[in-house]
Amino acid sequence: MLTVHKLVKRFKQVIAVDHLDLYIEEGEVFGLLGPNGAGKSTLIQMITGLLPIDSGTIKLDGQSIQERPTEVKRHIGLVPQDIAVYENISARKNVEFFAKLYGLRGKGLKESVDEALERVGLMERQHHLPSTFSGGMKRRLNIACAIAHKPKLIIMDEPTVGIDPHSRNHILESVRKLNLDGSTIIYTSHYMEEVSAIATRIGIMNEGKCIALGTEAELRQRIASQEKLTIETEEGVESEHHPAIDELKKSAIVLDVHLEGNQLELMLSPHYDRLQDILFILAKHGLSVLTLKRETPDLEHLFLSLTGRQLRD
Amino acid sequence: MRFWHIFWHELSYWLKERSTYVQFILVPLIMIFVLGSSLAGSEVFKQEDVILPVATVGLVGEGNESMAQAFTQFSRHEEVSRYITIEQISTSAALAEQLRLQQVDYGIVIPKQEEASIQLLQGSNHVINLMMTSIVNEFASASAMHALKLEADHTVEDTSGEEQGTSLQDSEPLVSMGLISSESVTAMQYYAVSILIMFLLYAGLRFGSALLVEERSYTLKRMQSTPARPREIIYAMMLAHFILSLLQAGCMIVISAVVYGVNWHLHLGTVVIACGFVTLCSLCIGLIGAAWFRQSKTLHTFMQTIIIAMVAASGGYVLIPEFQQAAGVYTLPYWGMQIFYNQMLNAAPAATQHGLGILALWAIILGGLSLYFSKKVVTR
Ligand SMILES: Nc1ncnc2c1ncn2[C@@H]1O[C@H](COP(=O)(O)OP(=O)(O)OP(=O)(O)O)[C@@H](O)[C@H]1O
Ligand SMILES: [Mg+2]
Repeated sequence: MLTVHKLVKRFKQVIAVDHLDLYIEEGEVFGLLGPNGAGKSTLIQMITGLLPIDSGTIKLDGQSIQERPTEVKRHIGLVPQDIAVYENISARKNVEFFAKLYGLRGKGLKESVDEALERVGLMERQHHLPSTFSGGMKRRLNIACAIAHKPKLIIMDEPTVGIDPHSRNHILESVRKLNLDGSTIIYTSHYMEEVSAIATRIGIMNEGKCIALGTEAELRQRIASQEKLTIETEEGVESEHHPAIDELKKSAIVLDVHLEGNQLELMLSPHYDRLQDILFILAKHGLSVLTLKRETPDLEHLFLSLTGRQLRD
Repeated sequence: MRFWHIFWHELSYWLKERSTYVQFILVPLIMIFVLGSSLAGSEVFKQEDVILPVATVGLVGEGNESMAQAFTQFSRHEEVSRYITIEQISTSAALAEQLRLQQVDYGIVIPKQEEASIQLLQGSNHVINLMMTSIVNEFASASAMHALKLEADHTVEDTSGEEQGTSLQDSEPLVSMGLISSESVTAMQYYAVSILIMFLLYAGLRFGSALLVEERSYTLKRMQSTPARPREIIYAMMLAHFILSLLQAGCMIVISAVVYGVNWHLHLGTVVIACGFVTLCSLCIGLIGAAWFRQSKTLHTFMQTIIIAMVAASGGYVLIPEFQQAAGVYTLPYWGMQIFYNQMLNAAPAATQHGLGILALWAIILGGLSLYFSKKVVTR
């Protein structure tokens, strides 16, 4: 449905999107995951024709956004990262205004606006001004404005930023319903659990590149062969250059070491059961262990192991 | 359809705002009243209730020294010297040149032979031309030279193309200075015009700020993610502000006429075109400003400075004829104001057309510039 090919966008020194390739199937919920500044919003703005493309192509059902912007935009609904509604006209008037820009008129317009407001649960407050809304309600209105024209592709750029769990669940629920009713969805987030709750396929983006792509199960597969050991020490380890860490890294069974506060996070080769080797190294460097936790890592750790960065600061 | 939808969205927003009526109708009406009534008694408007610039008149003696001297003498008369200063020029060719360069406002050529007629060379300022007609007639009657033949000249091409001669040969020589006062505007009329023009210039600020608000609230981006084309969005909003300003002008003219009794001497078509051009120019400046300055505070400062400076240079607040002639002619409001004054003074259509021509030129230049900037506003 959507094909992104060798897409590049530079802002002076920064390369925000770096030769990105992406293919989105009809009917999927594609979760796009990435830390701040990964280039998610830049990618989305290029797909929706808001930013000129440096090089590469974007095609929706074979039609290029560069060549036929008006035609392509008709089939896309964008939920921008920033709330983009008029504060001084009612919620309903907002949805109506944008729906009309997509060419909706008369009875069809009324029904579509009703449906959009219903989907986001703002029917009762439809005649109120957004300036009187809570953050969560504004977010929901932000979504309603993008879906009234029943787009084939709905792109949501962090639609749940800074809202309460109730509104968040409401939004996730309506995303699921929209998908069931036939829309393809691209959903970006910093939150692994959101994406894994709704996405049929996940892409992980970092520094303008897509560094991992697949279903959640496939991505888990890539890290299933690892185990994580979290060790809390009494003394605390101040720096990554502590001799204990150096020695741990040299050990054949330890794949990687991270320092999180006074916790050490060790990625181990699978099915390793000789913990005493590790404890021995720590003891040798005068570190006494307070707690020990052993677990199979989640997707956030996949991200960490791919980039050496946390998904969120 | 999308165009009209955005247009109506913008227009209805402003029509619903109560502050629109205060800012764009009530405030200017109060300003007209305050300036018009308080300055009615001021120096400029008092004596004959006239505003007349001091005209520089080029005088070519040609050899008929006695008559030239008589005129110079006449011009030193207290009543007359208030309005004109005489500059002696050796040849009529030199006079024509100076007239074209607007170094003198009006020319008089006194012929060698007594029988030949005096040539009057009109300049580009209509009010001065009118005034000089009266003064020369006064001179003719005062010197009891009824036989004096006056002839207006068509040969001088001034840059404005506005020169029009009237043959005074058959006209009544006894024209009193009183004619001038009936042919000039009152303080109320004067300020009604200048404040109207000034507030039409605020259209650009209103439009530019509206664009920046749309940008800041991300609704401009959202509109662009719909099939609406960037220029469609900009021009629809621009048209809404254009119509708003025409409505505003209509209200101000009607209310000031009814309430303050301002006599506008309106020719509807001319007024709509004049207000239209001034508003259009202002909107283009606003658009360029919005593209240039992303902060609405900076835009405000920029527009306010431009508007106040231009209106001041045009004599919109205080009348300084020399300054107006020197700097005002290069500004937009000056020409807008002249069109209205010309109508109030029942001037010949050529003067009005000249003013409209200059406004059109401004509109074309600014329109061209804004065409380039309109893209910059929406694609950043
Ligand atoms: N208009 C711009 N001018 C200059 N640099 C920009 C612009 N927009 C984005 N960038 C840069 O491009 C990079 C990608 O930004 P982008 O907003 O796409 O990231 P993101 O993944 O959406 O991040 P976030 O999760 O914080 O929204 C960043 O380094 C950012 O600073
Ligand atoms: Mg973003």
